Amino acid sequence: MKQSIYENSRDVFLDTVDAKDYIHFEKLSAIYDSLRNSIEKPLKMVLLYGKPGTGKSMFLSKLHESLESSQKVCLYKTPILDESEFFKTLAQDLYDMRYEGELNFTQFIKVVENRELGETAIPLILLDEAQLYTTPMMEKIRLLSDTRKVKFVIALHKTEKEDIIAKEHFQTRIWESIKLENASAAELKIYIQKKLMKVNCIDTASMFTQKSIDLIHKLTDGNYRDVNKIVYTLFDIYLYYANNNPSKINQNEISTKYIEMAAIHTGLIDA
Amino acid sequence: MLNIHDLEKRHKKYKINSMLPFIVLSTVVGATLIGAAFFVLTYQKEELVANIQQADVQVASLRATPLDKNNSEALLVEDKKPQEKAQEINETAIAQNSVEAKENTQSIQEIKKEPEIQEEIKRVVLTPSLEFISKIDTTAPKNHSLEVISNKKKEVVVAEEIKPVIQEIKVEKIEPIKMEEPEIPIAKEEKKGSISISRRDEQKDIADVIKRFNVNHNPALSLFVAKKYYQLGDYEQAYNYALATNDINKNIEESWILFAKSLVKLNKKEMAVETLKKYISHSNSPQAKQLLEEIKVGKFQ
Repeated sequence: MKQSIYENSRDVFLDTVDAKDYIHFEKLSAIYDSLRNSIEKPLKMVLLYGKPGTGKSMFLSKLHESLESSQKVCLYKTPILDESEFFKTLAQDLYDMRYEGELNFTQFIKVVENRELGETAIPLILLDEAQLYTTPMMEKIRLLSDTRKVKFVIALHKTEKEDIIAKEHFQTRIWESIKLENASAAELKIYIQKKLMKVNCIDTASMFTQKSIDLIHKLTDGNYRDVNKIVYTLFDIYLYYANNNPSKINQNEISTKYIEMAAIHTGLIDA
Repeated sequence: MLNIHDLEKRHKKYKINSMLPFIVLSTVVGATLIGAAFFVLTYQKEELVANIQQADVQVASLRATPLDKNNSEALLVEDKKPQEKAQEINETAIAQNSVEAKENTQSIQEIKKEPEIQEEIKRVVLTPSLEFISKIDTTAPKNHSLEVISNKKKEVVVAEEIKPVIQEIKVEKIEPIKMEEPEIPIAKEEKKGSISISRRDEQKDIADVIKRFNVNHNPALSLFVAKKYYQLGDYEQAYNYALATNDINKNIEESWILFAKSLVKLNKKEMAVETLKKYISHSNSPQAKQLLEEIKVGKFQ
């Protein structure tokens, strides 16, 4: 087995949010379809929530990628905390309007209300890490969605604040919430193997036995971010041994020892 | 960049730490099992040794008894040494006192026999025939046949000695039986004392009935309480509960009679008479009339 295979396998698991890396499997596809349906419904807001590393950002990226060609979609991966900057960015991205000076909420909402949609679909704004927006800002986002001239998909961590936001801003609104959860062991196996197959690393994909998958699942609790980290480090370890001590590598299956070493390195095991 | 060597070390440490509880647990379990096994084996060994010792003693006693009974010239091999020593002493004694040897043979043999007996007593503690050997030695030391006979005699003597002991025990056993007899009236006395206990129970009963009466105000219950108090000599309470009964139901004859009786007992004869008169006018009760007469005459006090 060439060392480049380990290198390629490792790089697949770089923890980046890229729609190209999105892995389709049954559960995720169902959630994705549900999200697509929600957007098509006359809802003003869609809430996407879950623990960190459950794939919220990936979902938004995928959604952005798939809708980009058919309608106006804006994805904000990091929150724009300055209010004027936020509205100016929206005006620019949605209506191609440039503002030199300050743009406050009153001015922007007038712009939104005066827009004629015609036959085009309602523009979609995807806000990631929405838990970082302030409460007054969230109230203004809600008022913007009330105009029915713009639609929001908000992704946030499942925190105590999430409940507060839901209570104060979404409770009386027509909205839909989609919860994302960690992967099961079976889903994790599909996730890892599909990722490797995507870059033609069939040999390394076949090295993942149920035993090694179970161990990874046990260590990561099925959290995609942690899975990416541990598998990345795992292939980094394999790469090291392939270069320095190839006899230590069993090409038939992933070594439990190396998984544990990767977990120690990533901090999943405290040693 | 990965520091594999450091990572391997950390992994080794992690493995040791993760295995530590199992190692400790297995060590503890192993140590416990070994300890238990050792204890059991030691205990069994001790028991075995004790059994062997007991067996030795039994064997020794078995060996010793025929010797004592037959009193043959052959002693146990172990017993030979002191005998030989005794014989040596005898010989030296004989050599020193060659002239007096013949005259003193009897006394020498007595000396010779004494250590032998002592040895036997030490070894065979439970054999009762040893003591009589010494007696026989003093009386007829040389003649073995005589000793045998004397042994038999001794057995007979022992048997005779045991008999009176048994008789004595029998007598002793009878005595406590005699002692038990006077205990019967004591038990009877206790029974007499139990009256106070039953009274306590009655108090409890009364308390229970009062509780029930407080709940349902049944005149039958208050009358029962009044009767009980009257029986117990608590005439004030008897009066109170009879009054309570009359308040609930004015037509209970027994309650009025009890009420009047309680008044008499409380030195309120006049009030009792008046009450009975009123009741008689109302009910024309013959029992009440009889009581009224008795109170007036002074028959009921």
